[in-house]
Amino acid sequence: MEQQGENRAALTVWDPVRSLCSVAAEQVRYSRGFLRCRPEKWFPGFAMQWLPLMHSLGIELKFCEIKPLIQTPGQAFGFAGTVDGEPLGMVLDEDSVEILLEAVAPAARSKIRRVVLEYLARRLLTSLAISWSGPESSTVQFDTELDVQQIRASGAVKMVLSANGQQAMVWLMLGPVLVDKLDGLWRRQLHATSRQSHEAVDVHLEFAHLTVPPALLATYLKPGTTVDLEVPVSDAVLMVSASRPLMTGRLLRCGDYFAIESSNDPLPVFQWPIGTTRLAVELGQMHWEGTLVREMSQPGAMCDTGIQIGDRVSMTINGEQVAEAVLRTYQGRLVVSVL
Amino acid sequence: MDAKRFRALPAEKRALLAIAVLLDGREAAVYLKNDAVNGVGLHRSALDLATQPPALRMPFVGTMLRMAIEEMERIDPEIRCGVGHGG
Repeated sequence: MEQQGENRAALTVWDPVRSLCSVAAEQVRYSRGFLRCRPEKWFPGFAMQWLPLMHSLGIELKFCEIKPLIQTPGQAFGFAGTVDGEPLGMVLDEDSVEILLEAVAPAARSKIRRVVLEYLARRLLTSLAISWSGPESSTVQFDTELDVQQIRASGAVKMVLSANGQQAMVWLMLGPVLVDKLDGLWRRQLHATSRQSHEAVDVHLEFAHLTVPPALLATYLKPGTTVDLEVPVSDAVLMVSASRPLMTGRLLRCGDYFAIESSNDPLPVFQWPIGTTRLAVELGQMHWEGTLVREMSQPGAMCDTGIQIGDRVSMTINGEQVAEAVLRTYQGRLVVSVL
Repeated sequence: MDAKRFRALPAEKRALLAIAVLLDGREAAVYLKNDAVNGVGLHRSALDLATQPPALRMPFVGTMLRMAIEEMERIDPEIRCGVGHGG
């Protein structure tokens, strides 16, 4: 509730630069497509390409994790190929090299180790090309004249596999065209397989809401009043549409603007005593097309809010702004000072 | 067995082909076909080797692999612990 007098001294500025995690624009851009995609779905016969060989060598091979990432590995050993002319790298660290060679060619002479690895890399690239089930086929080539260290990747797919119980990591470094292609493909498939159609909505980005008796509204909205929102300081926000919670998320920074990342936390139920008014404290609002609503429903999806970073918030009733305020913190909780 | 194409290849490529055929047999040709520089040559050479009956193929390819490695070691005798960089 209201804080007065000496308590004002304990109020501190809510600094979004210090309070919020920063994300790169690329991370936001691909967070609803490429970074959410499940590449293994597009390569249904991939494991079958390896099963007979692994069986004949007596290797127990399991694919433990396949994860698309924007970050690419630094120093690594590897081989290069091209997909429709765009360079692609297949890289792995020294430990993973040892694990794979120990499984496939134990105690091999040093000269042969590299040749064995090269064949495994060629096999990997070809088996990916053969098992690709996407809409367009690509020309995939293994190219020994390309230097894997020179490949400028926009994204990567990290494959964690277990060979005879030991985990090795193989990274596929992808160029911008391939990342864009997978990004678009995932989004198209997401919309095509959506069970319900999503309509465009206006989304309000709320920090908290208070239930206020109408008689006290004027007091709450009086300039200079500080109101305790009774929620701990965090990056949690709620996306609200038509006075109903739409999804939970967290607030991030992307350059000079706020970005949000959707989460799979349970949605709160809006209930307030009869005769009280819901006074929401919101950062701003956005218009989302139906496609964006569907894409944002994937936990981890992000979008730029278009709201410039700052500490100003709106106090709203039924989506209408009734006051402007500054967001602050007090004893670990969020408070607003009405302007 | 027509191994003329195979024998004409440099030692490293012969070693690669031999390993491929030992591991995958006839399938090796598929995995080598997409080489950007000599895909057709590697594909045909792998088929040349793989079309032989296994009883003939395995000892022959094994011998070819040993010869290729010895040649590679003669050309570049440095003993490396690691695997070096690709490309």
